[in-house]
Amino acid sequence: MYNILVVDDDKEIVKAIDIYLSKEGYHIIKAYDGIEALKYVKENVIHLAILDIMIPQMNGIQLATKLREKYSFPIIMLSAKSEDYDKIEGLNNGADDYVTKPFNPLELIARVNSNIRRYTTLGAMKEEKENRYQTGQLIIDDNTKEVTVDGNSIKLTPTEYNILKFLTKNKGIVFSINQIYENVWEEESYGAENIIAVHIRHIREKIEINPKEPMYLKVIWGIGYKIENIK
Amino acid sequence: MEQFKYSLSIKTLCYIIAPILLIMLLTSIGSTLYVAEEPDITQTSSFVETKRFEQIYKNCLSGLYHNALQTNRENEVINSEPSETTQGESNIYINHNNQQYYFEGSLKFIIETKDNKIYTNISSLTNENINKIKTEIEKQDFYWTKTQNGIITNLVQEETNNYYSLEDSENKIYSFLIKDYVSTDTYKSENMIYQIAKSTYQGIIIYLPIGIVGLSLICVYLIASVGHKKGREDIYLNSFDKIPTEIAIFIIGILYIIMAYFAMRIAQSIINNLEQFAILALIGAIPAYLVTILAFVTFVRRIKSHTLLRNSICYRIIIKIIEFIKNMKITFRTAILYFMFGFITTILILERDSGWNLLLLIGMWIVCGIYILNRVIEYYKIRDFIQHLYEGNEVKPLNEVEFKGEFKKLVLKLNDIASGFSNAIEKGIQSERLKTELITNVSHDIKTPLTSIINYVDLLKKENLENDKAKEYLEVLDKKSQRLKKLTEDLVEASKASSGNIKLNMENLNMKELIAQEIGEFDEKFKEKGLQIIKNFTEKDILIYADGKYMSRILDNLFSNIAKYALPNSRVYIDANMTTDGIEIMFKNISANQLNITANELMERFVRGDVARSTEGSGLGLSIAESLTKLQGGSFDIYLDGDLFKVVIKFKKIHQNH
Repeated sequence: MYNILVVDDDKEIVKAIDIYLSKEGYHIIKAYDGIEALKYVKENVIHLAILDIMIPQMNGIQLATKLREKYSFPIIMLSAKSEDYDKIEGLNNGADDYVTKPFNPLELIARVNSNIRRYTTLGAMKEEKENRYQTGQLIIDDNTKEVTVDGNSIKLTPTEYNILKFLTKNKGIVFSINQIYENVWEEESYGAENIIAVHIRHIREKIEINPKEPMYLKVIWGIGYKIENIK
Repeated sequence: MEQFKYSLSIKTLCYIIAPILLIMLLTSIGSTLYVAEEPDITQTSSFVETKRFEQIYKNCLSGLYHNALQTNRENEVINSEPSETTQGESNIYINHNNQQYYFEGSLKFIIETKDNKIYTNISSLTNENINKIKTEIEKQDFYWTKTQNGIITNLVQEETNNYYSLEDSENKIYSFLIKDYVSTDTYKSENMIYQIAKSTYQGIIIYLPIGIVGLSLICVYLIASVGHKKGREDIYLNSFDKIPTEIAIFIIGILYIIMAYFAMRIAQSIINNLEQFAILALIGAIPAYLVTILAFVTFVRRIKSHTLLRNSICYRIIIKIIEFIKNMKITFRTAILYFMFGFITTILILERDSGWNLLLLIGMWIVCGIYILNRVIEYYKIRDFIQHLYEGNEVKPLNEVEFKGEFKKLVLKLNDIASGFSNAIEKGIQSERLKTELITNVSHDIKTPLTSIINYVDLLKKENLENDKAKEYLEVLDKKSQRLKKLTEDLVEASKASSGNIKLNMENLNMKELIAQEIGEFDEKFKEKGLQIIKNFTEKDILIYADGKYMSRILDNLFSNIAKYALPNSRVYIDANMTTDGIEIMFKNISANQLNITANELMERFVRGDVARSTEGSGLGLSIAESLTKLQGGSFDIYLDGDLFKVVIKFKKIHQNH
């Protein structure tokens, strides 16, 4: 059983998170301020921490920095601060993920699962194989035509699979809709833009935890799409 | 020291000492000059021993001789009664042309012409005693005669540069002078001067420096202290000092003239009495000196209080003229200047007989050229400044010293406007920022309890509720809490967008790609409503310079509007054209509800097409879209025509260097 530390001064939110994550089989350790959190970290083996930014004694950013001095478990920031620079500040100070309040419980669970899996099975599938394409925890095995994210198998249509395979093969490179069409179908595209865009959205909805803020399949507005190259 | 300045008694003393010192100084200077001219003063004991005496004797004699002969009036020969003489035996030629020959009183003469006419100034001379006098001439103190026997004299014969050469005369001349000066004449006054010079020239070493130093000190003191009065900081001006300078000069001049007139009148009447003359001259000098003091004091006070020029009529007139010119309309002024320039140059061209004219003409042209050039440079500086201001750039205030006349006035006002302008902008930005901060903070505070609401509603939904009504109520709670979430997010975004508090990441975007991507996002929603998208693009690529993230947000808002409000099963047109100005993208759809609202109202925050606000949405979508478009340098307009809802977004044509 994995221990998850939840730090937030709002007791109801901590309790709600407890309910959701307990159902997923995690053991929750609750703390309501920074000092308390540090005490529990010393006393217990923690596998993941969820930190609110605005907490008493020591704010979430300071806490994350402090934790990073000794520990390497994943940290998810959970905050009402939703500005880009808030997220960047959090991620730069030791957080691995950032979820804004009010959060979707399913998204939080998915992110916890993803981070736990990445932390506990780190490096398990690192070796490169023939006809296998990987970025982060997104793996495409062209031999078995199987796609997995965080170890979960994803069901894709053949078209979606081809598009994803093409983009993953060329990870980090931005392709316009026409380029994707021409490369996947190997013929001139004519008025197929909308179809490709719809397919890509579908892929995103299937592989991403939050399709509005994709991790793997990024939308470069007005230019094209790309698969993020994650080491 | 300060007390000296204000002491009236010291001043009075100075005014009294000054003339004494002046007389002392003048006397010593006079003696010095006299000694320099007549060095034999040191060896002689009386005037008659000096060369000057002989010189004057000869000069006077020659003057008399010629006066006598040249007037040549028959009735003034021997035996004529000496008329109107006050001095007894002074002069037979009195009243000749109203002039008096007073200086020959002691010098007696007899002239016998070839035609036996006799001229003399001896009133007692008769035909009987003439020979006796002639023979007794050599018994006199000083004598000089010229007869057929030659010149007989007891004067030291020396060559003298007489204007009238008596030696060459063909007439017989007898003349003699008695030593004691009974009458007031040249000999008497010359003797007096001789005596004064003789008695004073030795004291010059003392008097001259005392006079110079004393007078200088008094002058310096008076100049320093005049106009200062006890208990007054400023320069004291009496009523005379306040009258215009020209009038003051005129009054002083008149006083001098009156005094000079009286002095002349008095001097004429007592001309032959040297003692009286000297006394009267001294008395007459007193008012003259007082007027001089008046002139000096008023002059110094005027200079000190800077009213010498300012209180003059000429100055006032000039100031009035300058003011008049300044107050004239600039057009009129320019016209006058232009006319004057034309007039002067024309005259210079027409009168081209001297090289100076050409030089003057060229000089004028150069000066005018420089003047016009300067004005043009000033004009361009002002023009650039206004251009910067107009473009909303930050401007440094113009340096008014670099400008002249009308432009200077203009620059001062312009600087005021610019500073007011930038202040207003700064204040506006500040207040917008405060507003955004407030909204952001409030939304943070709302989000925390909202998180609990959303989560517990969700948890409640997962409980197996038996009651159907409870399930229905929960559904409402779920929907409304989700809407509240969206509303707070939109609120923050709207305030950020309208205040410009957004960091843009501008790059070249292909609108065609962006629209396709966005349509892909909304595919299901459009299909649900049976909306058919018809794209009408004239160009292969429609490039704009914008921020992709915010452009997608704009389209997102527009498309979700279309998905919400468009008439089901209708067509939606998206047109994109290149125009002369730039790129124009048009979104057209038919509204499901009647649009009884204006386009401007629609763009205002919190306004929605459906007044009932029953549909989901914050009413901020179009406002956010408009603000974001403007932030990226585009324009966003809504047109309503019946049920046709049209949005036109315009962007500038992309530059090659982007």
